[in-house]
Formats: sequence, structure tokens, C-alpha cells
Amino acid sequence: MNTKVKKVMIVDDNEFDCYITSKIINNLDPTVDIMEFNSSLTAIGYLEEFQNSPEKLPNLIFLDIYMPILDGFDFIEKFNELSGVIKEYTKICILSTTVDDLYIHKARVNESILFTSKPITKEFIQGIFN
Amino acid sequence: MRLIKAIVVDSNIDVINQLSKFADENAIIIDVCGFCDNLKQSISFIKEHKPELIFLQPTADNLASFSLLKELDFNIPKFIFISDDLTNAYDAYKHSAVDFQKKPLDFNELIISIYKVIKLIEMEISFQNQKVNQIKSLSVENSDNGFIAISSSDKIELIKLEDIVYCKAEGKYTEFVLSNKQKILSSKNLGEYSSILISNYFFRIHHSYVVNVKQIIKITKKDGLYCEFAHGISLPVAKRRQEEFVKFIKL
Repeated sequence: MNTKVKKVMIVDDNEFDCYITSKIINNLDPTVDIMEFNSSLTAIGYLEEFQNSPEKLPNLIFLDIYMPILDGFDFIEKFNELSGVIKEYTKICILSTTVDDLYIHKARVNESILFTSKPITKEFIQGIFN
Repeated sequence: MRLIKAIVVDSNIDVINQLSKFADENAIIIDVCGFCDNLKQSISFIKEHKPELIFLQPTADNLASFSLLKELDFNIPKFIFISDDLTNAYDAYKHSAVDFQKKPLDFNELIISIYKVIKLIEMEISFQNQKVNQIKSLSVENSDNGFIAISSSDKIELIKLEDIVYCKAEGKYTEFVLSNKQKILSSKNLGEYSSILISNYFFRIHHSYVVNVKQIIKITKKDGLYCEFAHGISLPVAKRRQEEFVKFIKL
């Protein structure tokens, strides 16, 4: 697959879901570098540290909503406080199982953020990778 | 992470090889503990190993053997059907298979099937836990600990059952009258309390009243039965409840 997405970050406290997402991406394109974070705090810490070093940053973040301490929406708020460099370089995609209408609406209302349901499909990945 | 135990019931060598390879690559989530040609022969193996998932070739023979699974004395495994023949998808639905895969197998499709199986199992477990907890909390509410929790819009009050004189239905609310004349309004209706109260020494004398039998001072007969309490409170017993009431207080 010819792609401009080289590095992907997965933020999901559920290890199994994290594994599935990572596996589906690598099955489609083994060259994509995947960083898995089971803690949203550690993930945002990483982004804060490297917010001005694009070579360390993911092109795309797959973000879960239901996570302890810092949930997906809190994560996006923190992300929005980061540098212009990272906001230009990194795109966020919410990846969730939520059945809560309010959350689905909240996820869709911000057009700069992508949204899809778990499990992620290869069609969806191909759509955003190309 | 959850490791799912599976067996393969398929006579096709390509399917067996592909599933073996898939299981090797994904050993962190799936353990294929055995291969069998057909369902009939696999039953004893299934009984022994208790797999959570069966990859099944839906041959006419295997479909006919489905009833054998009813003998299992544990949770019936989930199924993923694997076939060239799309009409087997109908059989998959009929037998509540979690997914249907066409040959040749695609590993990303398989991963999604496994995802569906695990999520279904997790949902079933969490639904069951929720039910069990509900039942537990109901038993606690009903247990005779001598107290009742009365919730109103801004607080929850714990009241000793013995202090209640009677409860009165006020539309969708309930008014509790206590022996010290205090009145408490609850935001639940009388019906929601009656199951807790009636297992104790309370009796519903009237559509609108549940009374504490221990607080009754005397019962007067004058155009029907009346329960009299301290502070001059008197409540009527509904005609159609009189007989049952008399039986109850004689106990």
C-alpha cells in the first residue's frame, strides 16, 4: 500500500482492542510503525514531550473514549493545548464502541476529528491512509 | 488479555493450515487446542477441552449433529462457520453462529470474527454479573435489617421500620408517618415499598395505606374495621381486605 501514514498511535486502555486495531493496520501495511498506549495519561505525556519533533510524532491517533482518569474527550482537550506543529502534523480518529447518543454526537460535531466504530475495518483504514 | 480456546471442525486441509497459521500469528488471543474432521467425532473432545469457540465446516452431516451439543454440561461454544457456499450463511444464522467466513480465509476478516466472539462473550458475562448484582442488592433491601431507606428529591433518610406508623400513597409519592408525628415524603410510590414492608409486620389495609401492625392500639368495628393508632389517628380497612387483615393480625 502506498501511504503517507508512517506512524500510528493507538490509545486504548483495553489491551485486546489495542491488539486488534494494531493487527488490522499491520496486516494491511506491515511498514506502518505502531505505538500502543494502554494509558491515555502516558500517551498525552509522550505527545507533550515531542510536540515539536515531527519525526517522533504519529500521523494518526486512534483514540478510545471510555478510559479511566483521562477519557477520550479530555485527551482531545489536552491535545488542543499543544503546539501548532503537532496539530498540523497529527490527526485524531475516535475509535469507540459507545452506544451513547450524546457521545456519538459529541464525537461527530468536531469535523477535524474522524470517528468510526470498533472494530476498525480495512476499508476505513484504506480510506484515510490514501 | 483474554485467551480464547478454540477447536477446528473441518476436513479441508487448506482451512486447517490457514487456521493453524492464523492461531500461531495471534497466539496472544487465540489457542487452537484441536482439529477434528466432523462434529460427531469431536463431541468427546469438546467435552474434555471445553472450547469457547468452534470453527465449523457446515456440511449437512455436521449441521445434523448440532443437536449433540445440547448434551454439553457447560456453556455451548460460539461458532464461526467457514464455507464456499453462501447458502450456508442461512444455516449460520439459524444456529446463531457469531460469524461466517468465506474461503479462502482472510486474516483481517478472521481477526474481526475473533473480535466479535470475544465481545459477545464479554457482553454475556457482564450482563450476567449485572443481573447477579441486581438480585444481590434486592435481597439486601429485602433482608430484615430493621431499617428502610427513604429517598426524596434531595436526601435519603434511614428510618427504623418499628418507628413507622403507616405509609400513605400520595399519587406517585409515598408519605411515611412516624410515631413521633414526623412525616417524610418519598419520591417513590407505595408499591415500590410494599414488598419490603410486607415481608415484615406491615399490612396493606387499603389501596392507599400500609400500616405497621405493631403500632395499632385497637381495632374498632363501626361500619367496617378501623385501625386506631396513637395521637388519635384512625384508618379504615378496605372491605375486600378485611378478611385477610383479620387473619394477619391473629398470627
